[in-house]
Amino acid sequence: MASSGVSVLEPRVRGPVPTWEPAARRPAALPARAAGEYALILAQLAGLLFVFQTFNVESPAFFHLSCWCFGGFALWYFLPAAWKQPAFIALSLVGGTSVLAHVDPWYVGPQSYRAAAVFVLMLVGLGGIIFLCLNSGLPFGARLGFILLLAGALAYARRREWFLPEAYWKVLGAIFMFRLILYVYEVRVARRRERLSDFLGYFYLLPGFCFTLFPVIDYATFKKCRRSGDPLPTARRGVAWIVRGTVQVFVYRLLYHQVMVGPVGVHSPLTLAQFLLAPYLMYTHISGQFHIIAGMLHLFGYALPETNRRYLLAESFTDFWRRINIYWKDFMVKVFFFPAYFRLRRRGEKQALVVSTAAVFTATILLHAYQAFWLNNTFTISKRDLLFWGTLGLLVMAGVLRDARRGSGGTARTARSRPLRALSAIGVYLTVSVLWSIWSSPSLGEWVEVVTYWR
Amino acid sequence: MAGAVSQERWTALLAIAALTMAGAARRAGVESPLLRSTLVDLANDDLSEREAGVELNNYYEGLLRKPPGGHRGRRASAGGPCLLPPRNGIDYAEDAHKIGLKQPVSDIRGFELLPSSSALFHGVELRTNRWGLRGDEWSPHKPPGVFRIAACGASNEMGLGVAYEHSMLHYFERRLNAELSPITRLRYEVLNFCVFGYRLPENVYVVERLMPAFHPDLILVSTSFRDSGAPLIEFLARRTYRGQDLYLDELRTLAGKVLDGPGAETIGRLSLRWLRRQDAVYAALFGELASFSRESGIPVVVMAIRHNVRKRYESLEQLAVRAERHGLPTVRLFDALEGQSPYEMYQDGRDHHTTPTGHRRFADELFDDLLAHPGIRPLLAEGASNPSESGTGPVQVPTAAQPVDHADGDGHPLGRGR
Repeated sequence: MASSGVSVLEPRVRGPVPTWEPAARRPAALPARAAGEYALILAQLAGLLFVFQTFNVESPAFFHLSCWCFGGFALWYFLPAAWKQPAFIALSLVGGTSVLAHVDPWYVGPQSYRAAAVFVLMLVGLGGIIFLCLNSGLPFGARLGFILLLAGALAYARRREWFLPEAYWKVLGAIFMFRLILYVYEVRVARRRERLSDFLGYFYLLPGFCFTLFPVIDYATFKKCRRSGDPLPTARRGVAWIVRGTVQVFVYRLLYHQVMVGPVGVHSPLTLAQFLLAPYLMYTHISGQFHIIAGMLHLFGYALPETNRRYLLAESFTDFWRRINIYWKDFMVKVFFFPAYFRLRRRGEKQALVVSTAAVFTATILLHAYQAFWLNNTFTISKRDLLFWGTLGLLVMAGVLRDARRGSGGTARTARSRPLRALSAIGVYLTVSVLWSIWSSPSLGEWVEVVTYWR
Repeated sequence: MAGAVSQERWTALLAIAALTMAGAARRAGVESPLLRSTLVDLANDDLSEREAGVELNNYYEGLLRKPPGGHRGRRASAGGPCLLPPRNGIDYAEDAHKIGLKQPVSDIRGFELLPSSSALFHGVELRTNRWGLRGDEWSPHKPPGVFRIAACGASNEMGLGVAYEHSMLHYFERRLNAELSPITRLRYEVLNFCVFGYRLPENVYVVERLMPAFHPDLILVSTSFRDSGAPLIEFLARRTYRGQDLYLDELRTLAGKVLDGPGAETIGRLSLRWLRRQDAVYAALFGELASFSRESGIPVVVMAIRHNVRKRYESLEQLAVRAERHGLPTVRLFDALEGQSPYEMYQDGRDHHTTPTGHRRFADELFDDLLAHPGIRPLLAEGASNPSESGTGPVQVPTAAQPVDHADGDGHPLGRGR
């Protein structure tokens, strides 16, 4: 029974699930075929660079990142296996410095390169302190206390906007705010000393110097997914994901410019529909970015799992929760759901599921405010946040309890007819859209006014 | 598995081919308006037309789009050492009121600049003359042989963030004097009545109440995205909500209708009601300008200015058409920034006011468009006179703060001199 409760929050996707056999087990590709594959990947990457530049995809810093990433891959491919991870770390730090120098395209010059280099050295120094502390022989409580003190001091400095420009605070926050939690969790659970190369590779990922909204990559998954064999199959998938992400960013731009309307723009049923349905679709921007990030890491042998999967087609709210941000869901399950669930299940399955799910959504609310603090220096939890996450939490909780009662959620889905599944998907989409439009409104009262515009 | 891999590879290849072709089409320029518009939107990383001036609240959009430091955020160097030194002294959090640059007034403008003041604002010294405007110490009396152009608008036309010598109106004045003066034997003066934050309603007030004292031969009224749609509507809704006067009788009447009935307690609902009456709002504003032009005999030209590098918003064209419907000559400054890099045209990532290069481009387009306009060209090129040309009689320009009946040449016709 316990497994059924846990399984409802696990990824469950239909269709052929891609499997990641270590490439070393596969038969080695013929040199000529490998050369052709390599050339084809480079040609695709060159085409993508052209597209990024022509359409101003994301930012000038992103174009710079792509140049480092794609150019780095072209050389990194030829390195011996033992050099690949150190080379990627070095590329990330050097390329990251260059990307950071372009983070404000109005002020690119020698001064920005110098500042970026100093900042990257500071980041590495900070990482060094964290690594030494967490991998020291001190009791875990003392190590955790030191990390919390350090984080508190950094948060205070960030609040006061000391020492660093705003753009650098965002990068620092993006690198450490969630991944440090997962790293500490792993140190606590695994009870072994972690390798410095894994630490550096995990925190100082090249795309992390450009994207401040970064998928919450799990440390254990990150270590497991690094391929040591032929990197071309992983790179090929990476290219496909970058393309998919780029298309999603383009879809987002069209929706943003042509469909999205604000509260003041609602004056007819059509504009009301746009107001209600478009805000949720803006998530294609995040989804696109996550695909690009994961795709770029694939180029360097990190066969990470999917970040988002067909979330617009979710057939239930638990399904939606699993698909919209898979890494976030995994993060929540690992750090909040499982500990609460296993502690409480002796008192009863239902109670454990309810409390654990509530813990997950409470943490989600707090961590979204915490994320906004590190990225925008604002920490607010509004009524709209509570309404959005609270309603979603209740809907997911209901789904979790229903699936637990059935014993196995998979059988229920396959038994349902296609029209019913389509209706379910439409229902989930509309509900989430409405919730998202409330979340995106200036206030709850204004949202009510907008949807009753004819009054 | 092999099939899935193959499908993924081919999908990626086809998608890249399609995207590359779209990129090539964008670079080459396409004829189809629909395709061109789509390609422009694909490349547009700026705010959407609907969001320009009205901040939407999507959580992720907020995290991604908020400019570094935020519009009202403190500078990184505030209160401690900083990795990057402050650049050209710009402090975006500075408040024009606190630094002694503006004072509140009870009319529709809400505030005005203090006369004869000086402060560091948006990185440059912003100095006002004795009339509380940016520019030289003009005399209300127009000397003989002078052709006066009075221009009103908002921050960009005012030249926010650039030295006055680099502002578009100053460039425009220099070009008039360099190229037309030798032909017309006139000296051209461009009087900058622009004040940051002013929209069309405030500028109608400026045109009617402040400009006539200076006997302009031509009046330029700038409109931009702030006058189109949501920003203007929200402005009117906020004033209505606070019970503030709207200056024009037509707007007052509309405000009465907007406030009529239940459920008018919030700015959001008032915005919706104003939105449904936006045709009447524009008719009132442009109608008032046209009426003023007819009665005073001073031509009023509307300048629709596109400040967005990436895209020409349709609402700007609609503004221009609305102005033309009321018989106002209109110039469309839509091409000055076309195809330019935002990093050369905008002052920086937080401040999208135009650089000196952008101001020069605006000035050039304004000069060319005015001279190409069949209604304006004779006036500019031949220096046609108007009833206010002598400018020697008593000047009557009451202000809400301190009405002044008249003033002589050394007095302050705006009644605000120190």
